[in-house]
Amino acid sequence: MIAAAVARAGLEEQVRVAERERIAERGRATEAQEALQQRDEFISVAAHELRTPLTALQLKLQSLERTSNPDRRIERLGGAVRQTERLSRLIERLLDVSRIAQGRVEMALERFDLSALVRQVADDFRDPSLESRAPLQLDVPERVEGCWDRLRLEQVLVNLLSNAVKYGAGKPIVVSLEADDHRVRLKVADRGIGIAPDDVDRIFGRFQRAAPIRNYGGLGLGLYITRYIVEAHRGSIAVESELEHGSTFVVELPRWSIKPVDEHETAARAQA
Amino acid sequence: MTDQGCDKTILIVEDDADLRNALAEVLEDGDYKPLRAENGVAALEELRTAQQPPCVILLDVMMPIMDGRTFRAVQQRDPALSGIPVIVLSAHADAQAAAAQMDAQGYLTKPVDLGALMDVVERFCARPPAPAGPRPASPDRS
Repeated sequence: MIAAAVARAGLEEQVRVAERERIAERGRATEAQEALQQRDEFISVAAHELRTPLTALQLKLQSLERTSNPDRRIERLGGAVRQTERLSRLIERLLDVSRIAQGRVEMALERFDLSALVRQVADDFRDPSLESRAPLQLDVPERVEGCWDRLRLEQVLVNLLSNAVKYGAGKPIVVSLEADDHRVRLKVADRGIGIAPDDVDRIFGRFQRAAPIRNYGGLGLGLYITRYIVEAHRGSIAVESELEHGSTFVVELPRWSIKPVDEHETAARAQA
Repeated sequence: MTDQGCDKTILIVEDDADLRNALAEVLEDGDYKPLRAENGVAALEELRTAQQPPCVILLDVMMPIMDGRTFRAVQQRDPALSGIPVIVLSAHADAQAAAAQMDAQGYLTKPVDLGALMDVVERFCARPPAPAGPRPASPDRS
């Protein structure tokens, strides 16, 4: 009788294990399905994003055949070059995702003035911000020196300002920088469409976006890459937002003596 | 011969500033008069304040504030605007289907070919103004 009970218990345990494996397998299949769907959506979005500057480039080049005015030709060629640069940036961004996943982003730390970099990037945004009727206000100290990767921090600023212009609903954008002896705090605040509370946590993920794709294009990679760069500097990024009232992104970075975070460690966190 | 009713005016509705300006440049080369709007709301403002209705609207689909589909629905409900033909500009593979759903008169797929663009605008600027009211049952696809 005891032997029969033991046999029954063993059998029940086998059934439970099989059931757990079946549930786990179903979960893995669903995850794989979702990953495939996410990849297909991303390819479609990436094609759309590449075709927009490609159209501007093609029109400028084809129009060269129809105009003999030398000034106009030079202007068109300059415009065409700007579109190729824009395409290059998009491709770089796509490649960054692959580099991040493989932990192959190298950091080149150097001493420089972050205030000057903020002013320079804001200056580059003067035209895009005017196009969207969003004036840029700067609240930046005269000089804030530190040790960071200049190109990567420029990328952070460009990503945050692009988002502020894009989602800022044409209202003023404020960029501020504060510093103490050890840390700097960069804030980019808009008064645009804002982010729903349920979306705040996922916007730093890969291929994620809070705004509907029918209204807002973009690869859905900017904040993912931004978070990676900030964390590689041993910093942090957070957002405060309210729907219809705008968003404030806050980046905190150590100022000196930064030893870059191990690439694989940051890549693993970025995957999470 | 062009229809003097629209005086070669074309409304470009496109959120990407570079593309909007590139389209305007090549249309100006062809002696057209481009009007520019960065979304559906700005396009409606432009149409309601324009001195002359445009011969045709070049309409992007995916835009902030008001997308192309919503703009088209509002335009079709407004008797003063519903007669203006619309050509959909889309980067998606299903541009033709999108144009049909929006009851548009045609579509151009990005990257847009300059020759195709000029053929389309020439066709709409050369024809007599469309009467306001219901859309044709069989849109003329480009």
